[in-house]
Amino acid sequence: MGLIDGRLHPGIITTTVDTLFNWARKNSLWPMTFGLACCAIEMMASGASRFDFDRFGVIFRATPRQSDVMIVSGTVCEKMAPVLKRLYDQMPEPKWVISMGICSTAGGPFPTYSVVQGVDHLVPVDIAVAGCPPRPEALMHAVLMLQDKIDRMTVARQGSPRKSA
Amino acid sequence: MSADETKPPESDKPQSESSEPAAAAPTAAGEVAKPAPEAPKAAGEVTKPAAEAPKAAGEVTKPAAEPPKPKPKPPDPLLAKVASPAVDRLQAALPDATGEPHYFAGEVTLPVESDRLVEVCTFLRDDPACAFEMLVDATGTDFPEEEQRFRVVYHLASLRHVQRLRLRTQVTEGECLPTLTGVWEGINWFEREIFDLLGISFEGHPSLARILMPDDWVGYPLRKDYPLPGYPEHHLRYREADVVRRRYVDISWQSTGERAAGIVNKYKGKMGAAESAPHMPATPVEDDGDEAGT
Repeated sequence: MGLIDGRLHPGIITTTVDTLFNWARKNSLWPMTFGLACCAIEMMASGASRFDFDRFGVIFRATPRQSDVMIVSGTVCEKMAPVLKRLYDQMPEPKWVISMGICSTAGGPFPTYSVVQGVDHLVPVDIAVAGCPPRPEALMHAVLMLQDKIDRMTVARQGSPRKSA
Repeated sequence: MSADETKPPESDKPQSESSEPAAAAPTAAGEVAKPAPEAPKAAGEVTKPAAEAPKAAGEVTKPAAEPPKPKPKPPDPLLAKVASPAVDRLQAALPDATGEPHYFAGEVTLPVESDRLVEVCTFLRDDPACAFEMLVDATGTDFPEEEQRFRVVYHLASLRHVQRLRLRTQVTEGECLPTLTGVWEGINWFEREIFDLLGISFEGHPSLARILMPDDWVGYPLRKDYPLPGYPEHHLRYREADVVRRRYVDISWQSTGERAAGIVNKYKGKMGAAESAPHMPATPVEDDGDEAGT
């Protein structure tokens, strides 16, 4: 700051690109509504006025193409798995995944033929929320943790999930 | 239980002391301080099934070792016969099409031979006294130990006469049932579900495809010999996904019949899944153990 101190117009501040990008990204996390089971009820409660996700900039979108984060809330069946994968692929970069509840995290109480034993078999999970279902406070905490995670990201080394090894 | 516990001392005593007066036996049997004539009554009050035991011990000539005769069971009110005008109509019109009806909790179950199913159902729908215009449910059950493995059950309801009827038919593995989509159109998806989960085919069904499970699923999950976690291949394709390196396998649900047959043949006889997919090709497909690929 010392080099440019006092040389710029008073209305101009300096920052890093990472800080700017991360600031913009983490404060407008638009999740895709992916309610699959009872966790979705808690997710709806989180979005409603009592818990009010809007104050974090979290506004639910009904399409993957306008979303930054996918909150997988509920039991993922084997038949739903390709759909989930396709919707994740349709989301623009950068994108994050919150696995809400024990069902989507590890299959939960359904160690059966028809339930995917953890959504991390399909998509990379950033935050896993414990609970059956988690309270809205827990989901709120997950969003705040995701914001912290985004804050540590850097634009320079952002890899693309599309590029397979 | 209490009858079994109290009986051995009573039966032992007259055998060892056969010359003892009869009045003493009930006293010892009752094990109460009351006078002898009241003892059998007291014992009978405490344990009702033991009511016959003191009486047998009281008779001198009769050997007390004889077991008490079981009382004739009263008829179970749950199994009581209920009036069903529809069944009477049906039996009068088609006398040899149905079996003996079962009654349980006021419900009527009528066994029907599978080859008369369409005839019976059409009659039940069209007859004005029956008028079962609504098919509530159709489902199936697997009884692997029975000769005819599957039971398929149809729940009918008549809104006009406010009556219900359950039809039951049996079918062996590999046999077809006639479709009832011509009688009640709403049975379409029920039959697809039965096909999906039990593997029973319905002849003449307009679109007999899986409805709940993915199209390329192997096996029929509601069969008793189906392994609860499914065949390992179904989960392997997800385990193959290397999430850390962000590499994914293709999990499109395009039907892959050869791959499916390979899985079934691989586990034939091992997981109790023999003949679990009769519609699949029987020739074994070479299985390289890497179903998911990369």
